[in-house]
Amino acid sequence: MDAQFKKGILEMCVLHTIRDNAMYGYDVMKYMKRYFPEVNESTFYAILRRLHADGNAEITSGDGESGGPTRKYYKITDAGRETLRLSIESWKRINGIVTDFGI
Amino acid sequence: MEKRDFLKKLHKSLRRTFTKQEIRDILTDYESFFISGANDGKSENEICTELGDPDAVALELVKELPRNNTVSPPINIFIKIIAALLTLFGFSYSLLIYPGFNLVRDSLVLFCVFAAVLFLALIGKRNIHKSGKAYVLILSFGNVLLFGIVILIDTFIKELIYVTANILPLKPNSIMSKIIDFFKFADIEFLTNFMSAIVYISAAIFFLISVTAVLGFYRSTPFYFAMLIHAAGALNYIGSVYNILNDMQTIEHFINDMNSALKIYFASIALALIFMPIIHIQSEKLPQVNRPSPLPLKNIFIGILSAALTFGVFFYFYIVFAWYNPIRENIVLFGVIPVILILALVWKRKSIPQIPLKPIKIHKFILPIGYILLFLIGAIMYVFIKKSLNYALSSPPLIPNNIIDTIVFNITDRFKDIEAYLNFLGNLVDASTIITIVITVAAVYGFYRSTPLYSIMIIQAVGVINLIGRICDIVGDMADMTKFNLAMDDILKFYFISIALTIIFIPITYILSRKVKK
Repeated sequence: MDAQFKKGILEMCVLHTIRDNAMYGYDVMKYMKRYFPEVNESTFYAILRRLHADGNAEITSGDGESGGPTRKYYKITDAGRETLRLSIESWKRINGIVTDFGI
Repeated sequence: MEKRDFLKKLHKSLRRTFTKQEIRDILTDYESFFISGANDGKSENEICTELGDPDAVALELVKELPRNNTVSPPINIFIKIIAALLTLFGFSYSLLIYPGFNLVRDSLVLFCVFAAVLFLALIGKRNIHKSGKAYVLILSFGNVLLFGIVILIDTFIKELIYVTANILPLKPNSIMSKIIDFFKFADIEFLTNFMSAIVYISAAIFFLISVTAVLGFYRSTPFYFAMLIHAAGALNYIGSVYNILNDMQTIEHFINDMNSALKIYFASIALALIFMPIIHIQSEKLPQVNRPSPLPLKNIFIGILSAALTFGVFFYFYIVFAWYNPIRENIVLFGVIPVILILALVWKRKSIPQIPLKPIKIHKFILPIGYILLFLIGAIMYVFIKKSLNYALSSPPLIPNNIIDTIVFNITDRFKDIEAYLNFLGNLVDASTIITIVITVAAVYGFYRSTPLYSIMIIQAVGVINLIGRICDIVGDMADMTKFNLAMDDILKFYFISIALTIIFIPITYILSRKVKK
C-alpha cells in the first residue's frame, strides 16, 4: 500500500478508536494490530504521539502497575473530532467513487 | 532480544533526533508496554518481536515529527556560546595577537581550535529539519566570495611586487596589468594605506561570512561548517599577508611567505572537504533501515557512459594537449565537468526512483580516505618534482631547510645519471595517474550507487590529473629555473581552484539529487 495513503487510513482508524473512551496506549496498539496484522505495533504508537503533538488527542496519566511507570491514556479532542469527521468524509467519497467504478 | 537490550538500542537510535525529555517520555511508554505485555503472559522476546526493531521504531517516530520543526533544542544555547567564543578566539588569534608569521604554530592553532569547535558542536547538534532553499545560494555565494577575494589579493600583491622589482614584465592588455600599472606610480604612503584598507575590508567580509556560517550551522544544514573552516582559512590568510607586508625583507622571502600563506589557506579548504562527509553523516544520523538495493540495468549503462566521459576528459588532459594553454584548459575543467555532473544528475533522477539507504558507515571512511589520497598525490607530485628539480639543477648545491627537503634531496642524490632520474619521474607520474584514475572510477561508481557527496571526489580527481598533466608540460618545456618556479606556483593555484570548485558544487549537487527521495 502506498505509504501516504496508508498513513491517512491508519490515522483515521486510530482517531476512531479513541473517540468514545480514553484508551491506554498499549491497548490501542493491540486493538489496531488485530485489524492491521502486517503493520508494526510501534507505528500506532508513533501515530498516537503525533496526534497528541498536533492537538488531535489529549493525554491523561493513569496509575501503572505497582512500581511500574505511569500509563498514558489517549482521548480525542474537539479538534480531533473535526479531523476525524473530515477524514471519514473524504474516505466515504473515495469509497463511493471506487464502488461506482465497479471495483 | 530482552527488554533491557531493546530499550538500550532504542535509546541509542533516538539520541540523534530527540531531546532528552522526549527520549525519557518515549522510553517510559515502552517500559509500560513491556509490563502490560508481561501481564498478558508474554515473554520479553515475544513483546520485542511485536514492537519491532528499535531502529525501525525510531524511524517511525522520526517520520511522525512535525515537518517545520526548525527550532533547535534549548540545550544547544550553551554549546552555541562556547562554540562562538572558541571561533572568535581562533579568529582574533590569527588576526590580531600574534606578531610574526609562524607556519607551524598558526596551522596548529587553526586546526586545533576548529577541531574543538567541531567536537563541541557535534555534541549539541541534533537532526534539524531543514526548510527553504536559501542556503544553497548563501553557501555558494559565501564560498565564491571567500575564494575570489583571496585569489585576487594574492594575484594583485604578487604581480605588483614582481613588476616593481622587475622580475617579470608587465603582461600587456590584461585587466590586472592595467590596475598594476596604475599603482606602480602611486607613492608609498598611498600604497600602504590602500593595502591596509584591503586587509581590513576583506577581514570584515570574512568575519561576516563566518558569523553567517556559525549561525547557519546551528540553524540548518551542516554544509555551513565547511564554509566556517574555509572562512577561518581566509582570515588566517589575510592576517598572514598583513604580517608579510609589514615584515618584508627580500623578494625571495616575500614570495616564499606569500606562497606558504596561500598553501595554508588551501589546506583549510582541503580540510573542509575532508571533514564534510564526516560532519554530514554524523549530524544526519537517522535510524537506518536496511533495504535491498539492486542496481537497475539502466543504471549500469549510465555508470559506464559517465565513466567513459570522465575518461575522455582525462585523456584530453593527459595525452591530447601538447602545450600549456590556461584558457582552453580552464574551459574544459570548469565547463566540461559541471556539464557531466548535471547530465549525470538528470539521468540519475530519471532512472532511480529512490536512492537506496545504504549502511552509512562505509562512506564515512571511503570519502575522507579518497580525498586525503587525492590531496596527498597532488601534494607529493608538486612538492617532490619542484624541490627535486630545483636541487638537481642548481649550481651551488641547495641546503635542506626542513625534513621534507632532506627527504627529497636524498632521493634525488640516489640517481647517478640523468636518464635514470627522468625514468623515475616518469614512473612517479604514471603511478599517480593510475591511482587517481582508480579513485575516480570508485567515485563515479559511488556517485551512482549512493551519496552525491562522491561527485566532489570526481571533480577533485580531475584537478589532480590536470595538475599532473601540467607538471609534465612544464618540465618538458623548462627554460630557466625562475620561470619554472613561477609556472609551478601558477598551476598549483589552478589545482586548488578545482578543490574550491568542489566546495561550491557540493550543496547544489547534494540538494539536486536529494529531490529523488520520496
